[in-house]
Amino acid sequence: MADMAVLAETLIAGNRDKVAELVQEALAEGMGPKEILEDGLIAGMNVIGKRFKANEVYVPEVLIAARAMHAGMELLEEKLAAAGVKPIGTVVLGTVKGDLHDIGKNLVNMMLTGGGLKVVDIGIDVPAEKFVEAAKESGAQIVALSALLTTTMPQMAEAIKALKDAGLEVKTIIGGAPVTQSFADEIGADGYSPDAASAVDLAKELIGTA
Amino acid sequence: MESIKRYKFIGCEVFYREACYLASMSKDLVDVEFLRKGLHDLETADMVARIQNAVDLASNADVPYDAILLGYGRCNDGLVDITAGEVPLVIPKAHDCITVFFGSRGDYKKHFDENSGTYYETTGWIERGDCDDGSVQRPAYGMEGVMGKLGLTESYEQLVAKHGKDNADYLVETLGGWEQAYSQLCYLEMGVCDESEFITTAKKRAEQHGWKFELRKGALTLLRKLFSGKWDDDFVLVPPNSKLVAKNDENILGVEPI
Repeated sequence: MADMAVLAETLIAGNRDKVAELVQEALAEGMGPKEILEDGLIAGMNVIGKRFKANEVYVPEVLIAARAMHAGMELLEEKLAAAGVKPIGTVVLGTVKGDLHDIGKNLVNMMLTGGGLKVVDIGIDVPAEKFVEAAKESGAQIVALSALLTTTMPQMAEAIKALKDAGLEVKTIIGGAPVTQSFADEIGADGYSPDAASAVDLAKELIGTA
Repeated sequence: MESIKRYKFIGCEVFYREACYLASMSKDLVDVEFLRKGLHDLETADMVARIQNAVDLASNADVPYDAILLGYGRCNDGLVDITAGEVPLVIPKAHDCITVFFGSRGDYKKHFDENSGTYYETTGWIERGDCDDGSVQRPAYGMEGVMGKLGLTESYEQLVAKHGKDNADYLVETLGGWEQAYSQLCYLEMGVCDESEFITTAKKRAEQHGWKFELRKGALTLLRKLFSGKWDDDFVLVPPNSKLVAKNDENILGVEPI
């Protein structure tokens, strides 16, 4: 029987070919896609998230683990859909207008995906109306906004206002180097995350699946 | 000479040429001190500590200064919580040095809003490279800085050794693409020296990346006012026993008692 602990370890090591091989083997043995996803891939990403938060691993390790997870996910996606397994929630994610920084946003994407959420990444330099559009189209429960500059932080307020004006019942979360909890309170964001790994717990909490 | 004021300028070395020029032209006495460019690459608390240390030393100088002029902006909150000792502090209401090079908050905001994806350069940005080996692709302060702490300062060879060639190639592709997001380089000509070589360098850089090149006149307005004691609404004055705070409005920075 395929060993999910080995799959998780392989993902943590960033060995994507081996991850694909192990997922394939597990499927061939008749293991359910949900079990492989949760006990293998997500379990591995959880460990990476915890180690990243504790400064035991760094961005490169997160990136290659996420890449390995993606290799496994590609094999599982169809089967998960066929089995009616849905992600625990959907998050629209983007860096606000005027801001071209994407490393932080990409890390949040990887952590959220690794946490079992569906992420709709709408990129960098995203105007407020695009967040509204993407939230409507995807039916997301959460919109996550990133900014690295004090110059672009006011765009977070613009986007949150646009989402509220559109009458969407989404929760908003914000993050980025100069962003703080007090700024989140000031602009009426529902949550603030000081780092990428914490965004997973925050998103789950707001969706009500924590 | 009785009416002469004594000022201490403590600023980022990105202002080296402009600040030296203005100090030399001032009717007052201005001592200048520069801290290395790229402090914003440090953790916020580390940047604050370094600037506070310089401020404290100047506050306790043998011959007291009338004011300490800070050659910084909000700089990713690296100036927030800076506290004045016995000597008041003065700082322009600016997000960062680019505001100062534009000479006004309004002009910078207008250009920034209308030209998304612009990389700005001046003499200081060009000649004071980001890191010791002169490579602008690696940030200052190496492992001490935020990028170092995130593991983003390793060379390709180091990445290959750690993660294998396939993963290293992927990392370089994923992390090295920031230039692609930019579409324009704007060189701000400050007019304190012959800048033709700098302009040539900036143009080449724009060409290399396939960016549009814009040559634009900067303005010494804010720096001139800072150096000449004309601290109007474009500045925050931090009296003794007060501290700088961030303001998320058009003021950018403010002051609070401690």
